[in-house]
Amino acid sequence: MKTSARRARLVLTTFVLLAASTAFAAGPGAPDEAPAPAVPPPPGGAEAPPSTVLIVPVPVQPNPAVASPAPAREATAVAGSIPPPPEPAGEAPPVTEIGLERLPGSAYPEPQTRGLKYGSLWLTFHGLQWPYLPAKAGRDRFVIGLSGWSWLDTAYVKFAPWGQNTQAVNSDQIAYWTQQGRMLLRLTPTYSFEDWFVQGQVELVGVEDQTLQRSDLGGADTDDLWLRVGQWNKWDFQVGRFEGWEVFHLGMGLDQNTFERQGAVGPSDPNILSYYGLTDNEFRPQGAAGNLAVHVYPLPFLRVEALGTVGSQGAGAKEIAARPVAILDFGWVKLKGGVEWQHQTPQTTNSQLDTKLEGVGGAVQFVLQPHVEFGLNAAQGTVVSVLSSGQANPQGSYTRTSYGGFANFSNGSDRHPLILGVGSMFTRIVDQYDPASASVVDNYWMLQSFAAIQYVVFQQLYIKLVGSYSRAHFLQADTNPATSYDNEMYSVRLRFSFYY
Amino acid sequence: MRKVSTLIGLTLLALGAGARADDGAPAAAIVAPAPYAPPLERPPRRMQLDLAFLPMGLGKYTTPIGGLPTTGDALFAYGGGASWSYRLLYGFKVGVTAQAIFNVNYKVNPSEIAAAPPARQYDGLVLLGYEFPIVDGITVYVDALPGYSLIALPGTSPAKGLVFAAEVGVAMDMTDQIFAKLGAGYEWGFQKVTQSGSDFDNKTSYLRIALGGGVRF
Repeated sequence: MKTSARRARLVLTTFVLLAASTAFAAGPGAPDEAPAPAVPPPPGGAEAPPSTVLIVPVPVQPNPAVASPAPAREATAVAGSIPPPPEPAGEAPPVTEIGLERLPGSAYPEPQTRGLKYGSLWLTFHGLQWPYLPAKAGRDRFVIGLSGWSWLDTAYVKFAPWGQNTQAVNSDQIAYWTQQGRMLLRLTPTYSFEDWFVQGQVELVGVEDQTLQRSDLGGADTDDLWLRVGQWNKWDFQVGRFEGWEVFHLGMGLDQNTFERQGAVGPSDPNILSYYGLTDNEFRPQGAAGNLAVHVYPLPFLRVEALGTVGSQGAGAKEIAARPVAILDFGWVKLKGGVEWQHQTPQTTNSQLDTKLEGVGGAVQFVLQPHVEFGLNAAQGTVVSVLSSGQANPQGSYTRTSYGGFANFSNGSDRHPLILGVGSMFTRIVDQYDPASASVVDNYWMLQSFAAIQYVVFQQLYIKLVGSYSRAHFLQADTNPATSYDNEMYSVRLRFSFYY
Repeated sequence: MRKVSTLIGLTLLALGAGARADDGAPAAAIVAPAPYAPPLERPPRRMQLDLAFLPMGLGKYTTPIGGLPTTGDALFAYGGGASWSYRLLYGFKVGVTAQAIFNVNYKVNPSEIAAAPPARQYDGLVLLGYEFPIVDGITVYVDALPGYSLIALPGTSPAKGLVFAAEVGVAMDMTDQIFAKLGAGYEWGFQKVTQSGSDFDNKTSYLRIALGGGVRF
């Protein structure tokens, strides 16, 4: 055991020297411009060959005099212990791979079809363990996977409210352009041996506005930040900042941080009106909060996530949550369902502020290769809120219901992949606020719909045009009779995105 | 120190591997020759039948109120259309289109007396279009759709008149015969209604989206 650590250390040192000498040797005489790399495979194409792989096999040479920093299993197992005396080289030297690798297509598993190639379902992993970087040919392997994605949206939006609420109608006559973007580099150090793995991931983020947040001053700096241990395709335990498994799938539009996702909710409208898709605990927690999850893969087509959230998400609110989700994936048909529960209380112990969120949701998706995929979603959730005085908060206590679907159509071409997508979602929110009449409460609904067309240039650069329409209706129970008004939103958005 | 040395090591690994690739590993450097691209051909089938869902937004609606034509924002309308066309020469095609549009109404009715219920609009259009094959299986099309329109007004005689629509879109072959399409355009109506022996504007205009598909014969 101790020998292996020393061997690995020796090998790394040897290789560093070798690499440095090779690099210097290539220096003056080498061409200034590196040869054009082959077109890297798009993520997810399991058949695509790995490209720009910098993985380096490192044969271990016994040299007890050199210490190894390599995080080999043997080395890490005895961290902190006294270095053992050198041992004679008698046994067959193990081989370890250390490398820096752009994630190959095989890192994006697809045991069953994920969806139409380049389509929205295909870019979803349906609970699969990814990046998938198993040990090769029985050898231990340590790899730092490099991947990421970036997108830039240029969009135009126009709100056009009408109705009885003159304040909202007058102030929400808005039209403007935006450009937003997000670029992230994903680093995934992975140590694999046999079918076990230890994996970490950090996503380093650059943002172009997206109206900042993550407590501003530069906005988000990381998306994912997690560690995971387990056995490939059997189970794992994951802790950190990451997203829960997706249940609702929205199709080629309604992307995060877009106008169509926001819908016809202007600055003067009740901002609780947004879709609910088992989403209270799906997205990455804000503030000093994170997730712990166990993933289990009992059958090739059955995946289960038991996700818990714990921490404090801003404004002095502490939170615990649970969100179990199961996915039954037969490729051509996928069934997804789950429930969730979240409890928020203040950090101050003399306040009775209390919010409980519960929900249930499911989705069914069909993939008819190579031309059509479609799906349906439905979810319902409740929020029960108590004020700091201990009284019920009727405006903060409401029921949310969302349902909708999407359909994508592809020409199935590898050279000129073109996808048309449409989708729609309806959401209704009804609270318990009835100040003017016992039988009338706040009642809001919203329709969100879109049509999209996407072409993928060189199988790498995704260019997507999305047009959307949304209408929201607000019935406000403050007065008797209740006041009602509508808002309408049109948007068009051109997105360039690159997955690497 | 240990972290720094590891980092330096990994960086040099990357440099080293790159240098090795420069030296001779051709696998990652070979640029595949451009595959032979045959000249684009127009679809061999000349006849086409297609159906489309027609969301109509950002509309304007004009009706006579108190003897004066009054224009206001129209509600979001929706409809459907069916087209038959025949490609005559190169990409030029001619055909006919019938479409029905529902929920034709004001967002806020300007009438102080009573808000009218939604109307329906029926259009019969001539289709004059041209198709530009961009790459194999993907075609950009431009359609001009002049025609005649009727707005069925509840409780009174219909408004009638000319209508003109223009549309640009993309058609995508899914098989040899079946295609899907997505287009956008605008539609101007010039319908009039007769009241007390006089003609008044009773017309619509909309931004139109066409989501559909069809079959080529």
